[in-house]
Amino acid sequence: MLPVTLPVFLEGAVFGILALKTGLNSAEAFGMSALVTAGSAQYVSLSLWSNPPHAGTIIFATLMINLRYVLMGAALRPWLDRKDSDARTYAALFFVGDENWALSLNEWTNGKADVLFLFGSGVALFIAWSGGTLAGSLAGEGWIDLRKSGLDFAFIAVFTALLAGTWSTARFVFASALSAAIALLVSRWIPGNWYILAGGLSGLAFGAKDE
Amino acid sequence: MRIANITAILGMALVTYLTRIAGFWFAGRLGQSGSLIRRMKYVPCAVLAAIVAPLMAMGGLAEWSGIVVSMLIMILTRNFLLSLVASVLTVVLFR
Repeated sequence: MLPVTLPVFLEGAVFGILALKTGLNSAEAFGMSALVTAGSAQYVSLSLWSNPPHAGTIIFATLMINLRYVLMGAALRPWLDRKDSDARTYAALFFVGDENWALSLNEWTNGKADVLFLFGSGVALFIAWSGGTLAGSLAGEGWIDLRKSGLDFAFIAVFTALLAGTWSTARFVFASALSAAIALLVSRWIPGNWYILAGGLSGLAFGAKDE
Repeated sequence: MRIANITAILGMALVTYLTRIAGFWFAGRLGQSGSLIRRMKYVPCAVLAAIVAPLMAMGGLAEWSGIVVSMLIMILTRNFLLSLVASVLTVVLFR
């Protein structure tokens, strides 16, 4: 988990620094990371933050950006085949993020279907993200050069590696290419994070033809 | 701490948790053998491709070298850690 948690810790630290600049205090920045735990939505919320903030706008933007979790949660169902009354599953779902969701699916397609992997990797990322936010908001600016250390690229490399890891047949490559093309088009013309939802939904079309 | 900030943060936390459980809950209502579930097979790679495509499009020569290295190593070895370390080193070298 270290190669994933270290970049997330640093990303959290950058968030903490930016949150200070936006006018939040350390406790608020840490509180947001610990309760929301959704990096891209939190970054966008900072861009919308005024003093005092317009809570409705920020909450709506958060909902739109995190709609992808609905799709990702549905994709977890075949693996986490549990009763809805299982509190552990719903606790584990609190920790669903892009990285541990993808890592869990990768693990489960290799035959190790267990809610504990989702939970464990989620908690590790949760600690890294909220801990990083606290560290960044306490440390202030200018203590690491993300670009020089290549750590800004690590955020991309995590996803390209996980993506290539899903390519067990050529059909997965085609589905990825179609989704990437749609995401590029949508991100160019529609503001916000709709491109993730649009690309993700295109995967359903591939599944439909598979039957 | 100010009340408006706390309200916004708590609201963000609530809607985010709802998105995290909604898809799982809804997919369960549709039944385990529902066709929607079978269609989900290609959604993970599609979501990953959608997340990363705009980031890739912004990359220069260094980033693209890193992306190619990251994907090639993953395809050939299936080793996530190796792929990540090698691709980050590639980018640092190219810069």
